[in-house]
Amino acid sequence: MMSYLVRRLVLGLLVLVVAMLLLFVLIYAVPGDPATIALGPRASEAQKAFFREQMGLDQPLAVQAASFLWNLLQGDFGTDILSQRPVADLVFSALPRTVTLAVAGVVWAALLGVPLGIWAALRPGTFIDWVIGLISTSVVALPAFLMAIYALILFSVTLGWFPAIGAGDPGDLADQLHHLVLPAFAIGVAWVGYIARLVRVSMLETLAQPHVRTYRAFGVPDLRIALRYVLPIAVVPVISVLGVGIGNLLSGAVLVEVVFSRPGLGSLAYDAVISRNFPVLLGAVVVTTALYVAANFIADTLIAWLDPRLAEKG
Amino acid sequence: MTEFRLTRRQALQRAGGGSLALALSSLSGAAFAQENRTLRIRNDRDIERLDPASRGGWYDETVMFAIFSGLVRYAPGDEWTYELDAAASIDDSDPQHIAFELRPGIMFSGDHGEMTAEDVKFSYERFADPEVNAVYASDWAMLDHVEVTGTYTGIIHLTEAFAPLFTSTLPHASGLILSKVAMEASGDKSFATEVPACSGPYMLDEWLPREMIRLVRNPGWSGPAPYYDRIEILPIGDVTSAETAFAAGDIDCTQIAVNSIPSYEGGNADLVVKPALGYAWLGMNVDTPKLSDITVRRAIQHAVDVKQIVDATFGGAVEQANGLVPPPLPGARDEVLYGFDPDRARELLAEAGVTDLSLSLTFGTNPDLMIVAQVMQVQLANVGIDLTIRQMDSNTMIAEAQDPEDHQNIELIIEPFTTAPDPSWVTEWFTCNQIGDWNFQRTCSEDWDARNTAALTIADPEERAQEYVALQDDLEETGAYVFLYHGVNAWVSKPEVNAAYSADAQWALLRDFSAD
Repeated sequence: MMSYLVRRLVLGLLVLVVAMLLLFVLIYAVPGDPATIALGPRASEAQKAFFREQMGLDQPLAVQAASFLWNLLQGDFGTDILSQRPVADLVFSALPRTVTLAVAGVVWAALLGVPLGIWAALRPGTFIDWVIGLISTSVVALPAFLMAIYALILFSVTLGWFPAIGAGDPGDLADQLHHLVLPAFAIGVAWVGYIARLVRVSMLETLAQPHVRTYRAFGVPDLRIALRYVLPIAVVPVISVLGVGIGNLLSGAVLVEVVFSRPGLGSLAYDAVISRNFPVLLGAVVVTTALYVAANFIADTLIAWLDPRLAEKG
Repeated sequence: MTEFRLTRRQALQRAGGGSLALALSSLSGAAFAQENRTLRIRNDRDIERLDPASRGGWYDETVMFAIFSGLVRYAPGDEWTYELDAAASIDDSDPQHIAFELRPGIMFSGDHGEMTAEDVKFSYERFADPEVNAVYASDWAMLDHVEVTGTYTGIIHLTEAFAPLFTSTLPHASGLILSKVAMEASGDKSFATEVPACSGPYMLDEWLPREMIRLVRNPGWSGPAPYYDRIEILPIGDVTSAETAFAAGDIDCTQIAVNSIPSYEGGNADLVVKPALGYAWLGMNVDTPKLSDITVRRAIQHAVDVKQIVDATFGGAVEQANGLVPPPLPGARDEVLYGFDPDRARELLAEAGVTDLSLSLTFGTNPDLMIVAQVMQVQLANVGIDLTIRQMDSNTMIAEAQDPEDHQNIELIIEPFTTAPDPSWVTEWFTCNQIGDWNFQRTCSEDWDARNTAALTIADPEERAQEYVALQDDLEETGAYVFLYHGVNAWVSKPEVNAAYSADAQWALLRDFSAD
């Protein structure tokens, strides 16, 4: 088990370093002069040159990459070229918003997907099973931003139940939760289908096991069998999928944060791309990549713990 | 010692609850919302740099006009006029020596003392300080010095008369007054968003980057008291999201897209539409082989029906342009020299010996421009020119247009600009030394440049206006320009809000907002 986790950890770190270097090169290959964009059209050539020098943009790419990695190891993410604030401040103030959004999206998906999967598994081949299958397949194909727009129109503009923008008053927990409901629903709803289908298939497999027949023979009610004895086993594949799914949720968060004008890593990265604010973009992308790697590592660990046979196989 | 153990089953049972707890645990802070006299308004970008010498753009200036005062300020309304702000009087009778007197009792925030003529001197002379590295240094390029003649009085001495002084320098953000004491105490020559001291009716209370800027009353302000106790400015980049937020009642006022105007007409919201100080034109890169012949360029000028393009794009909400300088400003033209005449266009192409001409039109990610391009594509096809549409990220396009080699990829280009209320801000981008920067057409005339510079110092308004008309005539004569439109700025506000904007509605003048 331990050697499995160490292998996974080393692999995760390797992925992180390679991804960072690749992202660095890709980001700096994007056309557009940060000095021109940051200082505007009235800046002189001398001012732009001074700006590039200050930001280290006049150095060769390899030097910039090495400097970026070295600074990152020391916890220095660089400086925002527009506001001159430390990138770490911007990124780590946005991080909780995005993590909250992604986790709340998972909660939405689980709250809807697991019961739907159980319901379908308990009535295989019926009309209910068919309807749930249709809904599950349909929502999987829905882009998060489209769901965000429809949710806004229905629940904010028409019904007025939820706010349309922002993340809520920083000191008001209820207000923040109120602001979280719609964006979380928008990014989580596509996962409802995945989870429902996975739970259904996994439960049907488990329901066919001999020990379940034994419970039935002892007269244990179906619902109790499903929830108490079958679901804990059937939910294991869901955890595996969610580990990978966190990455999708984070990328889905980009557009959802823009649509809901919600501060977070996604909207931070989006704004940084538009303004060619490379240090901020790198900071946001590096932390997102680290989150993705960490989520996968946690999922691997959980799975290995829940089913030690997988760890033995490597 | 108690050992913590968690079985796999317990872990699974607690997983859902744990996720929720994690979601809740990241929400923290301490503040409360007070609804009384609070204005919630959208800004289309977050603040970047609030230093008058190196500010970012209108999104910064909207905040700056509320937290700083200048000697004079733009008056709200439909005309480009200025009114006294921190000054009790200002004497502009001598264009080179402007005497002023400050109103006594204007206090800077943060106990930085009273505003004096020393602060005015410091604020304006710092534009020439190399350590400040002012991006807007040209606004005070003709400042010789500010003479302090008393605690509240002084004289601005210019090296020569500077016509934009009262149109785009003093009432604009370059005329805002900083606290000399606060700046010196900060130890920095310039600043970005950490304002050393405020001199306007409001001061910065809180800034949550990309989330909200909260302004509250400046207790040291002795001028007319603003109506709202506080203003919450929400940076919402996406205009559709802003319109949705307005429809949901989350914000009191927002700028809207031009194509959304019809949906607000006759509705409950107060709709304000004003002619923008913007200018969009079709530029032709004269350095490319296909467009090096002026006869070909002239043919394109005649092939484009600007009225049809503007009507198709904006549905009657926007007028066609006759030049670069927007109509409210002196120097706006009444007519173009080479208007729509497809027969003449065909004749000129034949005269140039050009057949099967195919060109590309490059522009940024603006949905309006896609309609412009599509209509233009049909119009050019009508005279035998095949037009390929290249829409790309605006910054990528600008980088390509400015590149010493890649600019050859740009043949026809549209990149709308906005301007301050002085014609000199419009024409400055078309000089020879702007080639490789913002002169995408790459037209160059040393004589034109000299006249453009001289126009800055023409004191007679009528003569100056005529000169800017002539300068635009010359640009059109090059064949490299087809003037398209100036655009409009449209805002909506809740019916109970009395909104106030600059004459072009580029800025919401926050200190002038009130409510019924």
